Amino acid sequence: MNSPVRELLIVEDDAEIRLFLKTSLVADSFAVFTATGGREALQLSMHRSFALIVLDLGLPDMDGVEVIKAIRGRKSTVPILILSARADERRKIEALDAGANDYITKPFGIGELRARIRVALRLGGRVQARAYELDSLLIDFDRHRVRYADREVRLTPIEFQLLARLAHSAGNVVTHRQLLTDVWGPEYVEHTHYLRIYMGQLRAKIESDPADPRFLLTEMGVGYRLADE
Amino acid sequence: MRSSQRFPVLGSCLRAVFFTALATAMAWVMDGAYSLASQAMAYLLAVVFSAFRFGRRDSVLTAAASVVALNFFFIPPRYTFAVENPDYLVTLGALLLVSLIVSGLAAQLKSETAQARLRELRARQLHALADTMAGAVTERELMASAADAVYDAFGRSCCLQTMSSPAGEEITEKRGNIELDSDAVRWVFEQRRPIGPTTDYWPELPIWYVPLPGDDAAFGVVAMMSASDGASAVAEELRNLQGFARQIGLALQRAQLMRDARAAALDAEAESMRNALLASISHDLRTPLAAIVGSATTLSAQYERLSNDEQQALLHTIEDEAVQMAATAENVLQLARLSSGNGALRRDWESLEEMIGSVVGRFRRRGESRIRTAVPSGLPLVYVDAVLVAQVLSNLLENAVRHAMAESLIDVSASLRGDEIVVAVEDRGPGFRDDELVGLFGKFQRGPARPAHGGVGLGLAICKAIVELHGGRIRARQRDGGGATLEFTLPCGLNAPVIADDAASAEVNS
Repeated sequence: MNSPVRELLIVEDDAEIRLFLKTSLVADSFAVFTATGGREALQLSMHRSFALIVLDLGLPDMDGVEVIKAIRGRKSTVPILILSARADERRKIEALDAGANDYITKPFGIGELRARIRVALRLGGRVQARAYELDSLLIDFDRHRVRYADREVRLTPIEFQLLARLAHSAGNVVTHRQLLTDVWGPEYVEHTHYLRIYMGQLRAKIESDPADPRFLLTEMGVGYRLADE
Repeated sequence: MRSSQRFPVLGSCLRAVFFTALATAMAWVMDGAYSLASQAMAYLLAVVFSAFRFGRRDSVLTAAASVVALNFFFIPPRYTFAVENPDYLVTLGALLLVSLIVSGLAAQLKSETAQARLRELRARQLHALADTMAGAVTERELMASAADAVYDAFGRSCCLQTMSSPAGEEITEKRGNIELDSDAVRWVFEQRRPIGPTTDYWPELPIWYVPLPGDDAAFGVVAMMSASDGASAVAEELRNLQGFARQIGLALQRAQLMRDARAAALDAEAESMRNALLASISHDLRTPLAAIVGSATTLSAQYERLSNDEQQALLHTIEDEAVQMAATAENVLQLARLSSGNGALRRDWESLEEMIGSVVGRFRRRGESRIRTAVPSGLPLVYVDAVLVAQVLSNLLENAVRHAMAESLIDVSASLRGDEIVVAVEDRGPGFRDDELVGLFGKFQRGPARPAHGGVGLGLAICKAIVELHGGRIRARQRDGGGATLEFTLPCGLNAPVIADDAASAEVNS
């Protein structure tokens, strides 16, 4: 499964963006395949097992969200990274809830894209981690313990579950719906203000400047992300 | 009269009997001492009184009863209807004749007085109508108040209806119980003539249809259940109704003119906004584009002759200017979203700490390290469209980043003041001149004295639009000690949701 050269699929109808992605990723020693539409992408991904799919949401022949659903419908867990326009939060959320792993907003720099790809590949190939550690923050999933700046942090059960849920997808965005469903339960998906309040409490405990967070990052209108580098 | 309204004839008969009995009693008292002629005067008095007080029907009935009573009680042979002496016939005849003449005159006088009073009342009501309609802004309000006025004034069911036309929509205002005949309405509307009782057309209808006159065509029709009293009173009411209709027509005309004038003014304003906006957008796009094209062509044409540092500098310019263009594109998108109306607001309970954190984070990732935040913990949540408020913050920060001096800090703060949250972005830069502060957000302006770099105009105008959509205010001022302060407020009701910690943690316990 872990061939020496990892294969990526780029699904993007714009030739310039395709070219710049391919150039840059080939330079990063990936084997890059490209598709210009959803059907072609579905066909290609049927016969090859890609390490990652980079998918533009605005495709000419079919809806990007449908492509995600089709891929997930085949029980494939290949990480999917979405490219999307900024003023389109709803579509991003739809795509993420349909099973995409993360998104990146156009226009983006190559540095940002490489960081997302790194996270996606790491999460995709990883067995469930037992702990999260970054800078002075340590989360021990088994023992339900959190240390920050060399001190034990006391969290309420909900705070811990919220933090743990984000930590399991560290580096990836988790939508409001996913967080509310996983921490509170599916009947709470409309209660986004729970998230605002609990994230505020969490930041007060593990951020030195909650209004300029190091760990608990807000993806405006979409969800949250726990920093992982 | 009012007490016996349900049986008017019966009431008149009863009164006639009563007055005749009264006169008989008087004549009885006079009996023996006075002549028969004097006794007849008592009856005449009763007739005249009832004529003035109660009108023609009463007085005629009283006259008849009086003649009968005088004959029966006093004219010999008494207690019979026989008349002994032909002289007495003259007495009876004279009494009857005089009674009828007097009652006729009295009744006429009475009805003229009543009509004069009604005319005066209608004139006052017409005046009141003009007053109420003057307070109405839209045609719909105007029609409603006119319908109320007509219903109040005439006390009859009525209906006002305007026809849909290029100049206006169809409005129907009904008061009371009235069913209009749509053919009649159309006929009156097209012919601009009244129909109904005492008119030249369909006088047998129970309803008057009167056009609401305009300059070139009727605006619509006012219909009212017609009066059923004497013919002259009915004609008079029709004239009154026409007077009302004229007044309503005039008011409709005025409302239409005002609406046209307003629409024209709005069009002109929208047109000049569009022009200013397009000029601003094209400036904001063209300036960075010029830098990008210039840098890129320099790189491709003279790549070998440039030093490594020079190449890097040109590449950075391209990158920075492209980011600039992306910000402008973002603003144009938000503007499109805003102009699609209030429905485009996607509000939720949001945290300012998060919005500020997210926007500042975006700037940090771009390599901007001068931003410092100050947000107290425990600020209430605000009910806003987070993406739009983030856009405001982003534009204000963009502005500050562009104008702040190289090593100076940019301060972003939020604080609770009364029932609103104040968010401020402050820089140490050239600040504003007093004349620049005026209308800074109104037009698509750029700070003329500031380093050339487009974008301020469109950005600030959008900030203002977004903040005001949320019920807040935005303003710019000189910062103490030099620089600019741009701040906006967001109302935070006291009903921001909070969660009792224990209750929520008890729900899920791991």
